[in-house]
Amino acid sequence: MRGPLRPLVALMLLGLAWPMTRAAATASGPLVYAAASLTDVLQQVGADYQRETGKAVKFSFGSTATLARQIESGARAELFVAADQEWMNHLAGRALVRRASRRDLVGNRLVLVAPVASTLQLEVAAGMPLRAALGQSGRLSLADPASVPAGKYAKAALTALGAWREVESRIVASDNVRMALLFVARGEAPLGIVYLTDAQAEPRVRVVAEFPPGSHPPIVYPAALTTNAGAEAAAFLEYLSGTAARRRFDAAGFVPAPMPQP
Amino acid sequence: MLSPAEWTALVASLVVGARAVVIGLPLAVATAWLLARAQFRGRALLDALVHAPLVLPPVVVGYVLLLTFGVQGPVGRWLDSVFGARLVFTSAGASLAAGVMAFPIMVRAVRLSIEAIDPGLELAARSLGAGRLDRFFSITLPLAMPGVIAAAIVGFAACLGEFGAVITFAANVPGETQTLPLAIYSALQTPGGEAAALRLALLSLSIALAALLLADWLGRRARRWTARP
Amino acid sequence: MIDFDAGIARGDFRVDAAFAATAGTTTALFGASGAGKSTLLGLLAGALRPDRGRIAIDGELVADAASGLHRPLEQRRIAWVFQDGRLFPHLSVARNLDYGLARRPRGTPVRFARERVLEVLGLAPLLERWPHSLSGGERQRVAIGRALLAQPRLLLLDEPLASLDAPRRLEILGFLERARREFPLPMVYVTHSLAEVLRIADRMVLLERGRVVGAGAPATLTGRVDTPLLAGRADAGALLLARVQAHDADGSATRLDLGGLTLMTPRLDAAPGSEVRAYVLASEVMIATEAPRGLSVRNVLPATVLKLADRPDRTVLIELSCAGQQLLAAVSRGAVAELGLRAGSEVFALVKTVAIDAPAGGRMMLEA
Repeated sequence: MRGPLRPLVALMLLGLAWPMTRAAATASGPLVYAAASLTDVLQQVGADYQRETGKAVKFSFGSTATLARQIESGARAELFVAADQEWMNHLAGRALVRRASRRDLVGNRLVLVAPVASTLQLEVAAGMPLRAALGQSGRLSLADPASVPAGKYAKAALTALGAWREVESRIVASDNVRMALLFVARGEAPLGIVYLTDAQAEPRVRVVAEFPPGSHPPIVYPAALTTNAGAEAAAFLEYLSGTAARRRFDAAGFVPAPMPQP
Repeated sequence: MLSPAEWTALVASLVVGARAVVIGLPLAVATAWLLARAQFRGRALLDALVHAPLVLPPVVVGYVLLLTFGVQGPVGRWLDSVFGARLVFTSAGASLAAGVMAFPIMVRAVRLSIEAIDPGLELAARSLGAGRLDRFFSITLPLAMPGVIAAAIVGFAACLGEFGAVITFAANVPGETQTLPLAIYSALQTPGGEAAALRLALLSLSIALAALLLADWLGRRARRWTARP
Repeated sequence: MIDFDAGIARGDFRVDAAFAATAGTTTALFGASGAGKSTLLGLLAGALRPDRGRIAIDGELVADAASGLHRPLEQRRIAWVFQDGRLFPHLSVARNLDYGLARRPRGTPVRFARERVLEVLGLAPLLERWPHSLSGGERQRVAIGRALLAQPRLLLLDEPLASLDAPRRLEILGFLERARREFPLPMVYVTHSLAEVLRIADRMVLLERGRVVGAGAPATLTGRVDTPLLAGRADAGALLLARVQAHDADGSATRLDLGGLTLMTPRLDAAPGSEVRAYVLASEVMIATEAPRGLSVRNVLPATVLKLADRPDRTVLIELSCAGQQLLAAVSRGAVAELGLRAGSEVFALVKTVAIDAPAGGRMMLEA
């Protein structure tokens, strides 16, 4: 081809090849889909893993429901960590995850939070005056109780304590727990229900009270390899179940996975 | 035919869209006139600002609104202390988010029709003694009317379809901010909600088509009224 | 009434002019396209700010480049008739007409009454029509009416007839003349058509490349061999002012009194005693050194040669004095030499055709 054009084409081809060579250099790790509430801790674990093995793990965090639907539609995720059993069951029922690899990774606690400047005191117990605590126009910030695990747990807990019906109309439901947390952090909602780990990660909220574990189904994060999973994914799943990862989880506020219910 | 929740979402959509257009349209007309006819320093900056929502991800726009109009933001704090008004979680907030996203679209439509007006007509109006405001209301606005109507309809349709900014700023509150797109999204989030999602999607489509047909009809009538050949 | 001495420069294009106009007169700004006529109008009206100079209207200073004074267009009470009419398409003719009337400053008397204007311009049947359904001539009539109804103190017309066809031009010019008679209003009339100037203007300002190259009454400026813009034209000629004397018995001709001399023209539709303007093309005037006999030409006027000027097309333009007015004749160089014509020669001017412009709207002599 023409003189001046040649170096240009060569440059373009080189430009296209460059990212591929870079990717090969940092041998790529698995693609992991995980619930939003695991964002900070899994990123730390992923960094640890890369330091140790040189493999970069790719994460996609979001609402469990959205991620599950994406996997259902053919997303190339290799490892799925959900925020409740229901969505994992959903995928398992469609034979999209490898049954043998499924395990409960960690657990969590449910807490009532308020903006850090708030001085509200409230005890979590049956008959708690939650509605009154919200005030005239205040809303309770939750993840969507219809579809998001954190929201479902919250609804279960409030129902068990007899407070659900009175606050039902005052709820603002976000499609992931981090959004719910943000609204409390920014002072838009006087109260919210999120995971303990979320509250610990957000300096702009303070924990008002913790929901007794008996008031809701155990919060457990099941993890499983998808049918797309390669060897890298299996290796990472083992790492996640190991002691190094456990230390990270504990530091972030996660609790060991509860024993499976009979 | 529609469940109560779906009906609520429909009404919420119409209310949010109508409010956004009623407030946003005069602003859009004024902005379009400024950009089309006025000379002032900072004009390019205004132009860029107006078009920002078009090029930014809607969630980013919603987040910027949260930072500005949320109760801790500069404007939100003022609104709260002076009027006791909060926008997040409210239908008004949804209108703000949807309206901001639809604003550049409305401005463009009006601006195009203002620029299409023969500037010679304005000179003629001046020679007959009409001042700036007078010219705007007696000449510019009537002749730009087809564009203004188009802006209103298209702006309304854009509000009806807005998702990212609304859910980020106003959140998904049924009866207040849960517009049709948000309701469809919620339905999809729920296992087994596909049927409801489809119903809502068809409803949205019908409204959009009706809006476009209405825009067309109104536009034709307005053109006849401005007696354009 | 107008005291104009200003200039403006836009890139290569410069306009710098000074002229004055007295109250109640029609001043024509005459020149070729691009001479700067419309720019001058824009400066007068206030659509343009002068880079230098002052503009005063009716004794009031409306623009002064030195002090930065600039009275905006909408406050100058100058109405403007445009070449393309510029009627507002979304208003009916009636509402177009009332647009300026409704916006006149508080306390402005209505000198040009609505009924009168409608009548003079024949607008009554058009009132409920819409601009897009009007013909070109109708549009200009409405435009003129709209301008008058704004009660201006000065009327500007920017080539108002240029976009009309010949019959329409005649018609509208007639309306303009009627308006001029009915409504005493100073006018500034921009045109590149000599015919329009001759018919309507009391004074002419000649513009070439942004500068004034001549100014004066049309009768004075025409009929000279050295007037820029005019003498070199193919339709160069002289404007004569005459009075109708009598009509011939057989009704085929009219006699005009030209300062003591008689000018014969084909039958005119004008009453004896009325004033007419007569334009005589130089190419229609022949020279004889002796009184001719047996000629079909009926106008043989004794005249004195004042000046001679060579023209690029090898003819000579001869300026003649005749009955106290000026006449031009175009003669071949050879003939000039043969006849020995020079300044001071006493000759006879044979006028073959005269184009008459009578108050009731007679023939228009020239295509623009």
